[in-house]
Amino acid sequence: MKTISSVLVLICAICVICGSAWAQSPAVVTQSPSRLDTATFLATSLGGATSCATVNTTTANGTVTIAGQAGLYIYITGVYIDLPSDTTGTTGVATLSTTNITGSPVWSLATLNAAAAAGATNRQIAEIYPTGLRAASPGTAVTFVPSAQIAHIALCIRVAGYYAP
Amino acid sequence: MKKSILLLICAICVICGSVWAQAPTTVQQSASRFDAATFLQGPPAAATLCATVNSTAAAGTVTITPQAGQYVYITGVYIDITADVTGVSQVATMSTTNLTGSPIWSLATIVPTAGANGTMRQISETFPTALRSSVPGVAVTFVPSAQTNHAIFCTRVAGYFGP
Repeated sequence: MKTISSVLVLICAICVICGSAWAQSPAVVTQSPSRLDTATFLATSLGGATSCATVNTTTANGTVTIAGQAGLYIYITGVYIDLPSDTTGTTGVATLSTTNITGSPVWSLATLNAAAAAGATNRQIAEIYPTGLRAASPGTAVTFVPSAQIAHIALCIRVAGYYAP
Repeated sequence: MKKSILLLICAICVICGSVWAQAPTTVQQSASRFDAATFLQGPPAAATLCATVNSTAAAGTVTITPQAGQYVYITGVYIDITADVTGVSQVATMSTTNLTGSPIWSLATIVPTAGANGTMRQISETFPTALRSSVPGVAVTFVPSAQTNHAIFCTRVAGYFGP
């Protein structure tokens, strides 16, 4: 009887070890493709397609507004600005300001106006925030507001991010 | 009787062993991040500086001041650089304080001749695991060289404070 019990205990121990070993996952990089910090929006200028294809867009049309959600912060993971200018007019020195971000950052949207026959200028600002950029206050909108007159420049702005406590 | 109990324990152990060995299935447990940037700091009077050539070094300096005992963790440095068509090519730089290694950025631009396209570029550097300041409780500064001749340097630094 004692022998049988000993054998059973031994089998039991082997099973536990093997069970654990078999249950080990293969060496994968991540356990799930789901990410809780993935961007869930890519907000764009109010003017949408018009802002992205037309020079001299107004401030209102160029503004990106990310509405707040009660009790949640907005986490920004990237800011992307397409910035072409035409061959007319003067050099543009537009800027982009923000609300509800600590540090009140400003972007220079300056362009040198290309002379006729010199070809248009194109530039893209593409900024990534590896761990996210958290808004200053929860439940409050974040806005990106271009300066008043965007002379001879088309502004096409996108802001990626997500909401979280 | 004893045998049955042992078998039952054995079965439970096998099941539990397998369950305990399972890895968690989520990348992270919460969307909240303690290492999220809590500031995106620009220079003082940024709106003017980012739209005006020939700003002074003082006007272009970005200063990030931590609380006592806290380090500054930098997650990104972003500099918009634009030159106008007047003047000569320049070789401006950006230096720092309170960062080990005393890193320098080249802000050099080649001034285009009239009729040519403008000079525009952006420095966009990210530090995936953040860059910690050298000494806690001490400000980190980003200081452009003295004369930003016929150029606009518009700087932003992202980061957070931590022990």
